[in-house]
Amino acid sequence: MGTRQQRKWTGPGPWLAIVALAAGCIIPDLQITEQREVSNPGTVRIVEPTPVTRAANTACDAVPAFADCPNVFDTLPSGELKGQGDLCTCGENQSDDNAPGGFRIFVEDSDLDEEGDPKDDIFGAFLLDVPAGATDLTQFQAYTRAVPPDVPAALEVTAYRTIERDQPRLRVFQVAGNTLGSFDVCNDNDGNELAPGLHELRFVVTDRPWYAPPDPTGDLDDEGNPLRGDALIGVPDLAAGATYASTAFVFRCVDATEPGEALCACFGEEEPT
Amino acid sequence: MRRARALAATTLCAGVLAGGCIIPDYDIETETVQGNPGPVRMVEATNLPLEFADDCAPLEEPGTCSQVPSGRRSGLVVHIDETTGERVPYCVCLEGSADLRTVPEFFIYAEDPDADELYAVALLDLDPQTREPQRFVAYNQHFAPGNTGEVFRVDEADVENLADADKDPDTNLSLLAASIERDDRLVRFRFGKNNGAGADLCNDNNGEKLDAGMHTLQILVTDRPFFRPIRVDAEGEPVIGSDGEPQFDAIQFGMPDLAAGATWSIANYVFECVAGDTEAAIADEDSVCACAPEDN
Repeated sequence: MGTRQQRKWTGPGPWLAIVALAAGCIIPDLQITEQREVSNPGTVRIVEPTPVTRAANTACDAVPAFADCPNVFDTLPSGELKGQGDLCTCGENQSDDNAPGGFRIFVEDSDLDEEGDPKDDIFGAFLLDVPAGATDLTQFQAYTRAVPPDVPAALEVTAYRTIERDQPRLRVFQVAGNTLGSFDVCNDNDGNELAPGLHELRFVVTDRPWYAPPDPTGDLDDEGNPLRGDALIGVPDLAAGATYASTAFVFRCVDATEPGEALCACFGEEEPT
Repeated sequence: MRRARALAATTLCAGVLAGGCIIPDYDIETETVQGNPGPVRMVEATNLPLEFADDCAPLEEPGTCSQVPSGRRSGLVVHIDETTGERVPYCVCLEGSADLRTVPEFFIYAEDPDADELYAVALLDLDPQTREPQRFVAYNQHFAPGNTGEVFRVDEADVENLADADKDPDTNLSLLAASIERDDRLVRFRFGKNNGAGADLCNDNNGEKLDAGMHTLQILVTDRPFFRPIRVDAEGEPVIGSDGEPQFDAIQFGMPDLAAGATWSIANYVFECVAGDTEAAIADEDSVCACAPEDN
């Protein structure tokens, strides 16, 4: 758990206060400035590669030790989630052969420990079709088998080079495919199929463990802090100084049983449609 | 010579010490190649549970928790019918017709720890494999390519005026509290025209209509001006102007200046355009579309 906000007093205020106390007088606090403890200066951010023009690559070639422009590793672009064709809700015990395969999501967080190693654990979670004003995100948790929300991202062993800044210690979430190697969004949300229609799949990352509200009993732990209940997956612990980032994938699940122009590629125990 | 320099330095130091003065260090500069240590990132509000009102209260004003202002989040863009509360589609309308369902102007927020000036562009259906991202620049009338936005400090925001727009309607939590443990400087970009009529995404991409289907509008923000290539001649040599300076080609909006150490961040907005471009669809009062002649 990250350090919760601490306060310390700087400037001549403390000395003035001591002198004032000794003299038995009251002084205004105008000279006392508050300095916030910063334990999480580096924010977390999700990174994706960007297309590079030939002329830009030529310009990078002129930078010593670079041939092409540095770029983030390839991943499945956010935005519209595209498969090999129409994504379809296929029916019980069926899978979608058009579903994309497993892919990686890359994250940066610049906080390092004294040894120069990544300091913060980065957690990520998928949330499906969250309404704008939702306050209980736990019911929108999704695809936990593809990305377990309580397992921190792995350190990417291969660094990508950067110009004018330190090489980021990249973390990676491997969005695991199912036993068939595919991320079958319409048919396998932890074993459940999705209703036909448009869906928004949001991936949230944070650099502190997910927020856990105080235990309703109000009991305290051994250190006098409130006991905490279960973590609310998808909720960054802002009170602990957590930072967060998110990216979204949008897709339409076509009903494979409806006749139409959709080109579904369902397969499984029943005959493909 | 070396001994004379050492003697002079020692004498200077001794004099300084004897004088009891302190040499300020503001004229001492160190060389660094870290010209852009802090990467830019786009930020948006996130859903908060009701419990937050209590948990953040000891740290901040009661009922608040650090958040960036709310606004349109990236992801799916849909239109909700005000009377029925149901989701209704955006449509590609006949030539000369427009979709009455427009996307109201919205703000996009970014932060940069170096407080660099930020530059943004809107790209439509960007091909991740393209070598010409500048060809995907879109909606110039709503989002000028290369626009720099405006600095927006959360702690300076006029909370009174923004209260309605920047409060979560369900939790009633203010979304304009200062960040915990970090600076609060944001840069705000507006997508939308000044007159506030909204963007007809399916019918007016710089005057062009979109094809029916799904589309992705990407906002890309970078912390250096967009890349502008040096003009080269047929032999690949830089073209030098009469002033002796290299000549440049057009700015490649959408191409972060990676050679200059630019960082970038993106947010994607996905919307679907339904084909509503038939006379029958327009004449049909029960049509799912809301197309109307543009002069209406």
